[in-house]
Amino acid sequence: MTATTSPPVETPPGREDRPARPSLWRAFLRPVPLAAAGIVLISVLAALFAPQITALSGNDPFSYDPDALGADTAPLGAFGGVSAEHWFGVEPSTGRDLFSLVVYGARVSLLVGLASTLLATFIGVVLGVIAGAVGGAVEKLVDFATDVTLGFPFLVFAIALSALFPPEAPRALLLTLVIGMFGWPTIARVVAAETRVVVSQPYVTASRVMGARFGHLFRHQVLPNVASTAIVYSCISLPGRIAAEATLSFLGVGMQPPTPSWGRSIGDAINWLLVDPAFLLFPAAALFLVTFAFNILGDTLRDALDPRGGAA
Amino acid sequence: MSLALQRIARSLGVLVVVLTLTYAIFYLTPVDPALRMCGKPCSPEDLEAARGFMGFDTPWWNQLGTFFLGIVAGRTYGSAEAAVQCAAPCLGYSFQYHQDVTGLLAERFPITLSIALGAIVLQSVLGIGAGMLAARRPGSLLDRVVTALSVVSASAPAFVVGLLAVVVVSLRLGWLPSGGYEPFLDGPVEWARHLILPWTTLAFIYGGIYARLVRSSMIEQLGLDYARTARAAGLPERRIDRYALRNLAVPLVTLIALDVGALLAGAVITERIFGLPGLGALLLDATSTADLPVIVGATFLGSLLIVLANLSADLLRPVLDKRLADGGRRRRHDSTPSAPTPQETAS
Repeated sequence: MTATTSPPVETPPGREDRPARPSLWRAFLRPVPLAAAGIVLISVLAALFAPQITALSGNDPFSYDPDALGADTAPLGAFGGVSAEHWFGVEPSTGRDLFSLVVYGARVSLLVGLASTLLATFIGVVLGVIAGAVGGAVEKLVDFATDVTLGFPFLVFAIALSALFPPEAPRALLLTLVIGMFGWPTIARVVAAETRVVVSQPYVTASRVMGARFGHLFRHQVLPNVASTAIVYSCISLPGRIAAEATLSFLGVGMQPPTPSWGRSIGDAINWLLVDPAFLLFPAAALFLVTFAFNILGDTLRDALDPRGGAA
Repeated sequence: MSLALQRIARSLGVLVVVLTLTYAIFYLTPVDPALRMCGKPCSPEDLEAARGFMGFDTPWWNQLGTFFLGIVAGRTYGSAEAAVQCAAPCLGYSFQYHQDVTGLLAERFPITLSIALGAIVLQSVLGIGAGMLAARRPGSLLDRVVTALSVVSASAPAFVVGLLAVVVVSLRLGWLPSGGYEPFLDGPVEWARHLILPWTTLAFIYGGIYARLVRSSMIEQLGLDYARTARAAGLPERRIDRYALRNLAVPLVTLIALDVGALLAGAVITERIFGLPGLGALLLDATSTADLPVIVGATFLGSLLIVLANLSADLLRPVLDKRLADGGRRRRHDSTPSAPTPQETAS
């Protein structure tokens, strides 16, 4: 890493005394990344403890509350029916508690976002390392597969796919697969480029001469070198995947009722914009804050780990 | 010359593979399109008739061949008195609309194109302009505002921004219509008035990336020797900006080409928000009625646009930067990894 002038302030007790660690910590110990980390932490806690948290407010996201609705099925009271009972108001036409919907919505967003990112990173690293290490025809093949994957109009295709699945299909799994399967090309390209550089290093050649197998080279020489790149790229792409799930749910081809999803709540809000725009605000704010926070963390991580920088 | 041909052949190859995969997924899976066409009370004879009409009574390779042949030369559905002509480029026949898919797509395409073209112009102008202004004085208030806005725009989902725009600008302030489409030929002013909100929404979402790219590259360019020399020679800043911007032509063209796929997605989203009856609306309709021919046709069209955009960027790059005319090729096919190409990071 770059030799940053280390100020004599108290650095967190890094067990490894490599200079990379303190600078990484320092990168995150600034107000904006800290706030972002706080938002991410809150959303993770909300996702993990959704039943307990909503129980605190005395609601759950599935029971209808017709008493909170007026005759036109719009929420009673100001600001979308905000009250001591319903902290964020209620969903129009059903009276479901909006606070519970928002808290539970974190589950789908984070689950699909994280799982599809893991899938995309896995495919990308495997194909990238193979392409970069083997080269030749294999590399050309992976390159072509990358072009083909990028040649698909992702959103159009993801919408189209939903026509094939019956409503009772496990949507979260399908969304994870679809979003993950189309997410690997960028990671594969970057990893392939890094792998090409690593395998041409003298120490790799030396290992090969001594009879090291591919598995050994992969685990001990290639992987440690491409790991930080792979981590940075998967972190940067995570908010995009959360947004992809929300977009598909917003369009009505993602998560199906009654599973709470921010995107679907926002999509439902379209029909109520004239009557009750407040219904839009809470799920939209949750979605925006979480993607924003992950973006900040991803950028911070990239700036700390990848001193070459580079947008995109 | 041969490099251009190579690129074209590769694009064609990508298109054929995408279309084959799409066809396989939608026509050869357990979901029987003929059953969907046949309708709910479906007698075995009707089902057979539907199969025969769509050509599903032949082996799969035959179906695929007929499908590709239809795109090139057109085809006929059914036979004898029930025959339906489908002129080239025939992408299929919709049993929901009782119309050929190409015609359906052509009807809706102008709307989606209007959205996308306006958005591309607006986002490039705003993004590049903001990036250049920010790069003039790195660290200034303006620079920090632009940088912050670009992070916000990268995180804000398009549909959230669009809906907020509708609520504030249309419903609260009543400045612009909240939706609907007016054809360009019926009056450009009304056409534009109905599209301003979709354009601004998309320009805000995607313009941030341009601003970031232009800002960081301009700062880099303005620190290079030629810029310093020009400044020392007394050239005005605007002139130097112009020189520097010329060096950004290649990454910008690449970025715009990459954005076509995103814009297509953006158009689908904005069509839903603003009630515009474009390709996205057609696709969502087709999805809810399982109108597979329309779905496959829309995927093909989307893929065609993406591939064409990337191809034009590939062909434009050597024109914009003469150094790439030959060097890019040599670097691409030279497998000795002596130089880690810095261009890789830009993609």
